[in-house]
Amino acid sequence: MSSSPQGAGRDRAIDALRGIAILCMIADHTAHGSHILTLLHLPNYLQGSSGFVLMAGFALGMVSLRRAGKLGWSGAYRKVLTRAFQIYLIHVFLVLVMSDIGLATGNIRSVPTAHITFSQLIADILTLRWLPTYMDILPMYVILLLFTPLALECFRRGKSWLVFLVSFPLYAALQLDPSVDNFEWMRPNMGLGFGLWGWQLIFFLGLAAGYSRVDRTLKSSSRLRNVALSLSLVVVIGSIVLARIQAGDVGGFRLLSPEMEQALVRKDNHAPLRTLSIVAGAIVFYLAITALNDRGKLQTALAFLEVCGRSSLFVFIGHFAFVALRFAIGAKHWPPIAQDVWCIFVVSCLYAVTRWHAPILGKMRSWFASIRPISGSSPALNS
Amino acid sequence: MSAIAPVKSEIKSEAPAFWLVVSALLYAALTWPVLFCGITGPGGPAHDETNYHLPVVHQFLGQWPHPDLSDYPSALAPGYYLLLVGLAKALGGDTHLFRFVTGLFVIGSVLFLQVFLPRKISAVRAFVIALPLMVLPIALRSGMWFLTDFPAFFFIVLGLGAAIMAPGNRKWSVVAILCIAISLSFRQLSLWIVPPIAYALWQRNRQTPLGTVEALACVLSAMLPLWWMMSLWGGMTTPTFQVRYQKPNPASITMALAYVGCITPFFIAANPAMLKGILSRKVGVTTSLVIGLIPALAWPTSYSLNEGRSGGPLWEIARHLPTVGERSLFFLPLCIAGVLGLFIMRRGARLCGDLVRANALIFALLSMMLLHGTIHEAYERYYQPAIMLICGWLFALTIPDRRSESRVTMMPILLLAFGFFVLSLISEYYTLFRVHPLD
Repeated sequence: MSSSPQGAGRDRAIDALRGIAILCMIADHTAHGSHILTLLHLPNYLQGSSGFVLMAGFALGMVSLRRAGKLGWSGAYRKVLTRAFQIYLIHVFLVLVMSDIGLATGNIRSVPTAHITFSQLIADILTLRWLPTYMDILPMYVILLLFTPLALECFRRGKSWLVFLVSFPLYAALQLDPSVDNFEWMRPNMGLGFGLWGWQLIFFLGLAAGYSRVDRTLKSSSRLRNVALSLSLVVVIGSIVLARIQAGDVGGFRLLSPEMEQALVRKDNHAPLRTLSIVAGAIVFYLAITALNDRGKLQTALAFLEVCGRSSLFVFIGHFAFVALRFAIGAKHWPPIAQDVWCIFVVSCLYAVTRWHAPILGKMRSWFASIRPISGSSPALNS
Repeated sequence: MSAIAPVKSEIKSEAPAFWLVVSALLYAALTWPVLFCGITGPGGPAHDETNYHLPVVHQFLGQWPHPDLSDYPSALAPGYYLLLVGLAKALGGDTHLFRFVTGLFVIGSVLFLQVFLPRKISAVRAFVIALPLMVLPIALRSGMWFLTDFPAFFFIVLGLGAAIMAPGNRKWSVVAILCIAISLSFRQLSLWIVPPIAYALWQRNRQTPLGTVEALACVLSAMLPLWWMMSLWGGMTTPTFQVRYQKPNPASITMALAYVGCITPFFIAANPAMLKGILSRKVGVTTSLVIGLIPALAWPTSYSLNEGRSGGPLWEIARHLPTVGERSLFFLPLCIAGVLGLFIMRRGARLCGDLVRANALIFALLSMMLLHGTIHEAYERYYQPAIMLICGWLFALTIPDRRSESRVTMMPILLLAFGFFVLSLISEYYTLFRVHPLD
């Protein structure tokens, strides 16, 4: 359901879901240690980054299908590759800025540790070998986008199994032997939060779901929907309980051995429990948001999330300014309440820019257009 | 969705001043005899004054005009102390001046609670709604001793009133934004007003950039004093107190909700029309019951001095009642009553077309509870005034118009005020005369 003419044809629940994911990530990057982050990550296997990648795949699958209808498949693929290039450029720019700030403040982990020359640094940034803290998600996304046309082509030809024939074994191999993804491409001590073999699975799962418009199936009242919802609820509640046990909230009681817990929830591998939880969580949240939206509940919150979700890449890029500012003013050492306020400040600023930059730019454009007569090119003067 | 308070002159500012004067005189009559009879010295309710606030003001007076703010024997922000030091320098005077000025802030809070009530509430009823706040033990104590709770609370009333209850114009928005900075520079715990004020201002002009800019200004207004404190102390409190206050205590949420559970039945009894058809709202009632269970069971709520679960009559009652697994059974029905009470009052406000304001007020309550959950002490007095304020305003929103007022009986609210006054007699006056027997 769309809320504005701008969003005609868009599914509000999907935008809101992306909004939740991006807000979780912002809280994690800009207010680590805040109460807000703790609250957002109470079900701590449902992390923002996982949701972001899953929903990115989903949105891409959905959009590519629509684009193919307008531009043909080759046009849709070109768009995906152009997007990959744009993100690559954005990433390079951000890394340059963050590296400068890291070197200036000495506050960003991994930046001052590698002793290399300036030209080496530039070469490493361009070849994605130099990834300071928090900068490792966009390169992964670029690589995933490069493979997207291939996956879409398989989907189009009805050979989805081919995609997962590659994707699942890569994922499984990494889970069985975590060292297989460690192909030592990146410099030592760089951010290694996103092992490509582990994370690609949720992206392609999302892509397949978006391509086949799973949201429509979920929305229709069917037995399949009820089964999916029930199973997802069980998984989500189970993962929350397990997370609380693991966090020690129920004393010394353990359900699994520490090694097993570690193997099931690792972030860099996007371990199985994480994968299961985020897929189930996406279904539960999607249906919950859809139900709230249909009943006209929590409209203010949904409108807010929708704006953030609709421009998630813009918000994601923008939040680096605050990550840098946080390092620069030493806000990472602030106590939790102050971090909460800081987090609210960051989100408010990003919301303000995201929500209003287009209308304000539009007004400025029309203002410039209105003063054009003074410069002598007015049709009135010409006539 | 309708914006907050679109109609001009909706608040009571033009109401006859008679009952406002009565409020001020009543408060003065209750506190000034004690204030001016020259009680000084340690013990009883004077504890905070003697041990924290007076030493700080004396220290700043000695260092004036360059007071050392880097550390002093109080956990609070220096704004109010500096104001008093300035007044003492300008007017002369010492402890009695500080107590008198603090009392003025209580009067101001009580008056603004009435002023911001909707016009559909008559002046005398507004006076009755404000009575429970006025006779709260902490309110009366603040008129007799030099405490810092109410100066900050005054700006909380003004800020929340300007953002939520007042007509939506830019003048009130500026007042609300300024109140955030002032109340924060008086007392850090006032931070909880930032989200509801930002929400209310944003809600007013959601469709234009102005709403977002105002909300952003609210957060910025909080950020600046915070940043200043961080750079000054490296934390939210002075270095001496940083360890003590950093441990969170979710039992504050339980206590605050239980307190709401004690208060709301009186307001609901005053306007029973709120209950009409409530049983048909099965989902809402069931959800309220389930939500009420969470703060009662999710974390330890038994009385514990070391864990900060003490300080107030409810804690004292909980201390003597059974507990299971560190969870006091006493809080279970109270928390449920709290959530249910808020649900009923919110529904009452919705039926009167004031849902947006009611949401903002409940959001304020939630924000207050969450913020207090982050500090170690769960003293009741920290949130009593705010709960009285919010419940009072929420109650006013449940009355449809002046004509329906006749169906509202103020007796339960008077009874509530009487209960608080008895509590005050025991906790403030009796203690006072026991510690300082009048010769």
